[in-house]
Amino acid sequence: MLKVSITTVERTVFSSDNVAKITLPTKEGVITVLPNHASLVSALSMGEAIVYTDESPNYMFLDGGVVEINDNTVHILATAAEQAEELDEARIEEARRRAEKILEENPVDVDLAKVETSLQRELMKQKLVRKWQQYK
Amino acid sequence: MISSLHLAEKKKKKMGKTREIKKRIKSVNNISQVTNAMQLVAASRMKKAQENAEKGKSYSEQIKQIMLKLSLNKTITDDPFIDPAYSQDAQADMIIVFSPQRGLAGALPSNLVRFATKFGNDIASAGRAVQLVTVGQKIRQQLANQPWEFVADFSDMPEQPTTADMRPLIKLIRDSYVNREIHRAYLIYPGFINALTQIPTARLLLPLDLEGLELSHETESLNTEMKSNSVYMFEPTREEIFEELIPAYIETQLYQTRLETIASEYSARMVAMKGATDNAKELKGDLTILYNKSRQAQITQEVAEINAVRSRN
Repeated sequence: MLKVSITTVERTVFSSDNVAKITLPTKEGVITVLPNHASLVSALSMGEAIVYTDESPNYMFLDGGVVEINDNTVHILATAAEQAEELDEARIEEARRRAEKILEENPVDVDLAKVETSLQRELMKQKLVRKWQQYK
Repeated sequence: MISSLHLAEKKKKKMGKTREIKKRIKSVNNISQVTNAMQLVAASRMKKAQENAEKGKSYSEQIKQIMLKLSLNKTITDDPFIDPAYSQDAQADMIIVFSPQRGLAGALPSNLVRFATKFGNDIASAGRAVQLVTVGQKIRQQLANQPWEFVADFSDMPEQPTTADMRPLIKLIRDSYVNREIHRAYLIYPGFINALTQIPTARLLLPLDLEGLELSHETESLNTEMKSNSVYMFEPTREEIFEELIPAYIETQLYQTRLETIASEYSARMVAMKGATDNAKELKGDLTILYNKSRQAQITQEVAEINAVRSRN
């Protein structure tokens, strides 16, 4: 079993001593960590993390950060992290629309790269919510 | 005729005085209610800031750990953020002063001003200019009067800042450092010891002092254990991960400092307001005694007057 903690600057988002495996989006691609994994420090990218505990898989939104794996302990230091059940689909939808609209209208004074990242982020969150709801 | 006029005037005066005292009692009572409410609010806000700081502790501990592990075995002295000589030719040092947002916090603001002034002047006498950045309104004016370069003010940072709120400040510090405009960056803030004690504190933010990272005991023992027996893989590379961690490290430092400042502000206010409430209660007691005396004197005088009139008739 793995010991997993997911923390952000503000709080501990998830913590459990009883994780069978965990899937993570790293900059090098998606990895799944099983017990007795080699010691590793890796940079994370934006995407979904899936934590498999005894009961059910736990979907999580991660936005960058660093993961440290050592001695069956997984520490995730995320720039931002939210559990799927905390995500509010209506709010995500609204943010997504806003970003899309800005991209369409394409005003000069908006940093398009930023808007695009935020759109991607909201799309990712939405995908996650749908997935989680399906599972439920 | 004359004496009765004189008496009436005297009586009026006495009544006026009694009424005056009554008014003062009322206003003192109002003040004590307000200060008492402020004390309670400050207590709950202080508790909240402490709780939030506690919630973020595990992140800041872990980030320090990972940075230490990254620097083990192989020294990454070529990274500008941990190379103490990286910007040694820079003309200035930066001080980032965290202060309360408002007054009514006892001696805390003035202590902080004195400390920050001395700290800045020490830098100046060591031959570097001082770049000042403030977070919090209370002492910004006093510090702006110093012969320093006032670079930026981030007093609009909320009490519970998010990553987005802190990003501009992080960028400012980072860019100034990377562009070799500053040699060192210090955080100055009212350190929270306990609810009764806050001590102005300065901490070196950049360049990172890996040896001096304050680790809790638990982490420290864990760390010596790590040193002996583990070999890490790094993906993509050690340097790139370090790049990723630096802003996160600065962020968690700023976040913790901000919350500590808030906890200090509210605990200082709590104590100040408790003092004010106690004083007001004491004053109210004194005034009540005075009021009773004055009322009694007035009654006595009235009885005497009635008797005098009756005996004359």
